[in-house]
Formats: sequence, C-alpha cells, structure tokens
Amino acid sequence: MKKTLQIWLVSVVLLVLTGGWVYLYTNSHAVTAEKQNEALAILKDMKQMDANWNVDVLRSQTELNLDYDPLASPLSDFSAKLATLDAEAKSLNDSSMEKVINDIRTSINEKAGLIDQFKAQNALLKNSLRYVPTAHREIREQMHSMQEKGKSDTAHREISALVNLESNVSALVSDTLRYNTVPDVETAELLKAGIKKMREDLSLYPDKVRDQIDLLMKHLELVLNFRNQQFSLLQGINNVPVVSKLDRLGDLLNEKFDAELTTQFIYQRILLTYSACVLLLVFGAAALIAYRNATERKRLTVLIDKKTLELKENEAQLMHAQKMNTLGEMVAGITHEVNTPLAAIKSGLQTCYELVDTTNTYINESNAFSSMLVVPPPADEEARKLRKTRLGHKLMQVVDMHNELVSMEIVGGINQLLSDSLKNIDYISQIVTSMLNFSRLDRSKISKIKIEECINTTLIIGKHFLKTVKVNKKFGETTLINCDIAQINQVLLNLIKNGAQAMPVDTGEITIETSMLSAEEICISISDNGAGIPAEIQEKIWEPFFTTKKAGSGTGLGLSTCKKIITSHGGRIDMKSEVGKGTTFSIVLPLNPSGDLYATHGEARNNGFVTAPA
Amino acid sequence: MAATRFLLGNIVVGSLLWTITTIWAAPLIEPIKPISQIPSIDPLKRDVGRSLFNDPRLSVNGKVSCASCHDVQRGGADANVHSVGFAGQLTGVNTLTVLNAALNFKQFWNGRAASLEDQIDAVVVNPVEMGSKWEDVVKLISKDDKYTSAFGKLYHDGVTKQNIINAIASYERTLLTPNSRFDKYLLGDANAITDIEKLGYRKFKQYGCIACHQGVNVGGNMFQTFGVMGDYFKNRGNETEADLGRYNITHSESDKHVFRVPSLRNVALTAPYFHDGSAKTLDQAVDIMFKYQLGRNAPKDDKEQIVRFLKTLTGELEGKPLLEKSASD
Repeated sequence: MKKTLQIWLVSVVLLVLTGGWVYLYTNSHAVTAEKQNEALAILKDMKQMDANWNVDVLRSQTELNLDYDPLASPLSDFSAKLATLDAEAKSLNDSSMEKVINDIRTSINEKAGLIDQFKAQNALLKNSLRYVPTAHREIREQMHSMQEKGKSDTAHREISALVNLESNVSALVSDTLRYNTVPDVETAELLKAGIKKMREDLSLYPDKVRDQIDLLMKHLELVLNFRNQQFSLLQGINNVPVVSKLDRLGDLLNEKFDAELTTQFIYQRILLTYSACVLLLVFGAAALIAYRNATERKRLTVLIDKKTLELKENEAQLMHAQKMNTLGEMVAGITHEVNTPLAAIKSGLQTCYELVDTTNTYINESNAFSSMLVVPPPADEEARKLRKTRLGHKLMQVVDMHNELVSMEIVGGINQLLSDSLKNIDYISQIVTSMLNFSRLDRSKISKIKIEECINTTLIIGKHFLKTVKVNKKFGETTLINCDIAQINQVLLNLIKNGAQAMPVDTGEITIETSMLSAEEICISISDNGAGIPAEIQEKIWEPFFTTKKAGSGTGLGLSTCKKIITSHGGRIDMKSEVGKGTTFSIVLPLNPSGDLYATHGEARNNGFVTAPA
Repeated sequence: MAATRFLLGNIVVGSLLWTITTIWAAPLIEPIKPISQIPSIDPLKRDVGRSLFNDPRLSVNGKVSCASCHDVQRGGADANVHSVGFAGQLTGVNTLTVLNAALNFKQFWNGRAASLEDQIDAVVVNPVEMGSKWEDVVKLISKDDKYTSAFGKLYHDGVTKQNIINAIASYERTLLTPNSRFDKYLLGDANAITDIEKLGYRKFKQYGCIACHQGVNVGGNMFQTFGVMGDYFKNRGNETEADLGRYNITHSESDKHVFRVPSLRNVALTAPYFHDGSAKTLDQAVDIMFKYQLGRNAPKDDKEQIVRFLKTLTGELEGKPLLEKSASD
C-alpha cells in the first residue's frame, strides 16, 4: 500500500513539474512577429495609400488625372484594412487599440468629406473657367455687332456707353482669370464689388445680352468662390492627420509588442533557471538511485554467493542423502542376502554339531565296549555272567548305534552339510565382494571398468527385489570406460530398482542392453515391461523429491541424482515410456568423462591413472 | 461666326482623329474608362444571390423583392417616377439602376450606403421599401431547404444575415454591362460609333458634362449640388425632404441639395431621370443639365448629338446586348 502511495506521489510531482515546464515553455515562445508584422504592413500600406491619395488630389487639380476614380477607390481599400485591424484589436480585447483605430477611421472620413467637396468644386471651377472666355467672347461679339449696327442709326453716346459696358465686362473677366492664377485678397474684394456693381447696372445693358451677362456673372462668382476656397480646401485635405494617427497606432502596436517580448524574455529566464533546477533534481535523483543500486547490488552479490554456497552444500547433502539412501537400500538388500545363507550355515553346522555329538557317543560307547573287552574276565562265574550280559548289552548298543549311524549316512551327511556351509560362505563372500565393488570404498574414485561388470555387480546387489523378475542381459562389445564406478553403480541400481518396482508380479521382465553408440560413447538401456509413465508426469520425474510412491516409501531423489551424475560425466540420460507397455531408460556415457567430473572429484586428469589427493 | 468656326474646327480635328484612330487602333486615354472584366464568382453563390435578389420573402409581407424595382431586363430600374414599396407606398426618390452599381463609390442618391452590402441591409429594413426585420428574413430563408443546403456548401455558418447580404452583393457585382459601343470605341475600335456620336462625345466634353460624368461608370464617383447655376427646386416647386439630398445625412448647410452624381451607363434604358424622375426623356434631362449644372446655352443640334452619344453607353448583360425600350428620340 505504501508502495502505491509512493508511486502516486511521485507521478503527481512529476506531472506538476512537467506542467510547470510546459507552461513556462509556451509562454517563452508564444510571441511571434507574424501578427505584428502583418499589422505594421497594413499600416504601411495605408500610409502609402494616403500619400497616393494626396497626390491624386493634386493630379486631379492639375488635370493630370482625367477622372476622379483614383480619389474614390481608396475608400473601400481603407475600409477593408481598417476592418482587418478592427478584427485584430477585437481578438486581443484591446480597447486602446480599438480607440486609435476609430480615430484613424474618423480622420479618413474627414479627409474623404473634404475630397468630396474638392471634387464637386473642382468640376464646376474647371467648367466655368473653360466657359468664361467663350461666354465673354459671345457677349463681346454680340455687343460689337450691336455697335456695328448702331453706328448707322444711334447716337455716339449710346455707342460709347456700349463700349464702356463692354470694357467693364472684359475687365471683370480678365480680373477673374487673373484671380484664378493668383488668388489674392485685394483682387477678390475688387471682383466681388465689380460683380455686385455689374448686377446692379444690369438694366443698363441691352436686352439681348442681359441674360448672357447674368449667366456670366454667375460663372465669375463661382470662380471667385471656389478658387477662394480651393487653397484652404487643399490645405485642409493635406492637413488631415491620417499619417500621425497611423503612426500612433504603429507606436501602440510596437509598445505592446515590446512589452510582450520583455515578458517573454522574463519567462525565458525563468524557464532556464527552472530547467537547470529540474535537471539538478534529476541528476541528484539519478545519482541517488545509482548509489542505491550499487550498494544493493553488492549486498545481493554477497547474498547470492552465500546462497549459492548453501545451495551447493544442500546439493552435496542431497547427493549424500541419496547415496545414504542407496546405501541403506543396499544394506537392506545385503542383510537379507547375507542372513539367509548365514542361517543355512548356522543350521547346517548345528546339525553337524549334533551328528558329531552322536558319532562321539558311538565312539565313546565303542570305546567303553573295547575297554570292557580288554578287562580279563573275572574268576567268578557270577561275575563272568554279569560281564557277558553287560558285554552283550553294550554290543547291542554299539551295533544299534552303528546301524543308526549307517542308516543316517552320517559321514555323508556331515560332509554334505559342511560342503553346503562352505558354499554359503562363498556366496556371502561374493556378496561382500560385490558390496566392495559397488561402493568402491577400497579404491579411488575415477577409474576404468567394463560397464557390464558394473551391471552384474549391481544385479547381485539388487537381487532381493529381482526375485520375481526375469532379467535379460543383452551385452554388446564395449570398450573400457573411465568413470566414477560407485556413482555409476548407484545410477544402475536406481534404474533397475525403479524398473523392478513397476512390474506386475511374476510376468515382469527387465532387459538390459549395452552397445557402442559411437567410437567414444557407450549406450546402456534398461527396459521394463511395467506400467509405464503417464505423459503428464514424464517431465516431472527428473525433479527432486518427485515420487509416485506412497509417502515414506521413497525419497524421490533417485532420478534427479542419476541425472546429475550422468551429466557430470558428460553424458545424457533419456526416458521413453508408454503407459501399459513399459519404460526404457537410455544412458549415453563418453568413454572419457568431461572435465567437470574431475573438478568435482578434485583429481588430476591422468588417463585413468588416478593420483591420490595430496 | 464663332459657332461655325467652332464647328469647322471640330470637323477637321474629328476627321484627323478618325484617321489616326483607324490607323493606330490603340486604346484611347479618356476621362471615361471602359468596363473591363466582370469579376469571377462561384456559380452556386451567384445563383443563390440571384435567387435571393428575386425572392419576395425579403419583404415583410412577401410582396416585393429587389427585382420588383430593379428589373435587370429593363435596365436595372423600373419605368416609374417613384417606385412602389411593400404596402403600396411610394419611395422618396426615383430608383437607381442596379446595373454597374458595383462601380459606384457610394450607394443611394444621398450616398448614405458606403457599399452594396450596406445598401441591401438598409433596403430590407426600410419602412417604405421592404419593411422587414433581418431576424425574420433569416428565419424564412432558413426554412427553405434549397437555401439551407446551398448556404451550407458556401458558408461555414449557414444562413445568417451577413451571408444573405454577401450572396446578393456578390450577385450584384456580376451585373456589369461591358462591351457598349462606346466602350469598344475606347478600346480602340474607331468604327464602333458613328461620326455624329463621336461629335456628341466631343460636345459632351467641351460643354463640361464630362466634369462630373467621368470615370469607369461615367459618373457615380462624386457628389454635386443639383442646381448650381439656378435654384432648380424653387423653380420646380413642391420641395420634399428627399430633395435635401446629402444634408439629410451630414446636416451640413453646404450639403443641401447635394446628390451623388448618377452613372450614365445604359442611361437610354433608365428613364425617367433625376432623383425626382422629373425628366421623362433624355432630351429633357440634357436640357435641365445644361440649364442648372452647366449654366450654358447650347444649340439644339449639339444637344441632339450629345443624346446620340449617350445612347452609345448601352452595354451587354451576360453577353446579350440590352435593348432600348423605344426607338423614339
């Protein structure tokens, strides 16, 4: 539980640290110049449009531009660009920026209004200026023709009056045109007065030209008015502070951007320190873990060594235990094998003892009879009769005994018993020899032997459980093999015993085969026709302490020990089994065992000639 | 006489020009510019715009559509002095043409709409013209599956006021009428107009009509006082609020009776003329212009030539030449 809590805690801390780092990173890289540059580019474009607008006004005034389309088209462009800036300001929720943008919009509208006035006035002014000379000429021609006509039938005074009137008109026209070129205040006043007077004196003029003159006055007034206003109008257009307002917006944007950059820089600084701290933390943690690992590893190594040692000791003990077990079994078997002939010997000798005793009694009686014969017969008849009776009795006894002994075939009998006992003694001696051979206590561990000898020895040792079993030996031509004979005997005994115990009673058969598997390997197979090993446990049989026998009757160490022994010789052991048919164990042993065997025995490898340990 | 000398001089110059133009056939540099290309547009958007332009659901009682007053087949306006709104009321001014309206710098006689979009917005809610509310229009249009599927394809947010306006305005932008005979002449085809019409154009310039009726739309790019050389409204009488023109927007004394200069393109089809529709024929209109704007007298021949010239400003709509409604005049 504590472990899960620890993990949770660590995860949370890591998450918080990562979150902090991500936050600092995004804030230290958030500022892009893209939007800023876009906005500044728009402002630059607008300044250029404004400058062009100014130029186009003057071009219209000087008639370099033939139409007013260039003065009208900027409106929609400005509108679109201001809309873009508006959207930008809205997205940033910047009210100061929105205010400045509206300011710019107001100025542009102001300028547009002035330009509209200019367009209207300029059109009319140009038209009037173009018309004035024409109108003037027409009036003059009219008046000349009247003068011409009048020459014949009017008084001089009228003619001179006409001429005066006509010159008044001319004067006004030329004044107006001069005013158009140089609009000074005095000429304006002069013109105003002149036009006023002309209107007042209109009745003096002949009917025919009155309307024309009236119209001309209208045009002159227009020229006067609009030329007067034109300069201030143009000035006004130029002075509308569009550029300064655009600059103000530009400054605002730059200010904001600089502020953002400064903030970003601060974040970068913080990020740097933060990263350094986290890095230190990480390194510290790593160092701590490495140190812990190292000490742990050391501790574990020591522990492993200890455990390995323990394990080896345990293994050795196990092997020893198995050996003891085997020995114990062997002893059990031996005891039985030895006790039987011993009992036979004892009974035979006991019987001999009795027979000898009987023979001894006969000999004694014979002796007694002989002694009685030897003694001279007494003088006395009575004594002599007694002696004859006694002699006769004794003779009867001796003859009876002699007959008994002859019928008992006592000499033959004793001979036979003695011979049997000798035979049993031989048998016991054979068993003892087998024991010695089996355990090899009289000699050193590794030496050369014929494998068939081992098999035979083992069969003798295992006689007691092979009573009801038929043993078939199929021996091939095998070479002498270098091995630990005691251990190999142990293995063979184990396998044969296993086979015997698996047998049905009386019909059991064990077949033992030997052959050369190759030039350097011997193969021994031990087959039985017993119950077989089921497939599920075929792998398990090699495991230590695994046994199918009832508790207490088997240690389960047999096959695992066998495997260990064969493996340490550099050989292999396999098992084939079929339930209901039988089992075959096959052992393959090299003629010369692997180096491991020598190592475990602490002996030098010397082609079978073993040197005793130093 | 001056007039004869004037005429002679003009003939000489005219024939000279004719020679030059037939030899060179280069585009002319004139205060009037020809209409160039019609802007390309998504055909679906144009169809939707056209559909909405003709859709009476934009008016509150479903009686009038844009097309009711702006008949595209009839020069983009109607033949009435004043047009009739959704409830039978008369509008305050004569209907302007929708053809080439995209080329005007502002919309309406008093220039109160800065763009086509603003104009559409104002008309739909105008109490005399369509009298509707945009929420209602949007609802009605949204109910129509044809529209909702088309809007879904064109706009990511479907049927909205802004998108309806955008569709109609986009359609209106395609209502340009290029390839008038005068435009062809401007583009270098010296034989696109007759000599008399060329003469008419010269007169148009010399008398000073060109001072206000210039640019690509032969007008439409500036404001001007109506009645410069005389009080038009006093003489006509029955002054209305509409007659105050831009003063209604700016409330500036100098803007009294100031109107947006209308375009003369297709003028032969858009009678009656002026904001009050007082001139029934081009001749009448030219007369009034001479009297009140130019402050000049002109011989009848000159005026006739100018009218002949004005008739060359009729262009093509969607490839088909627009036809004058009557051969008279």
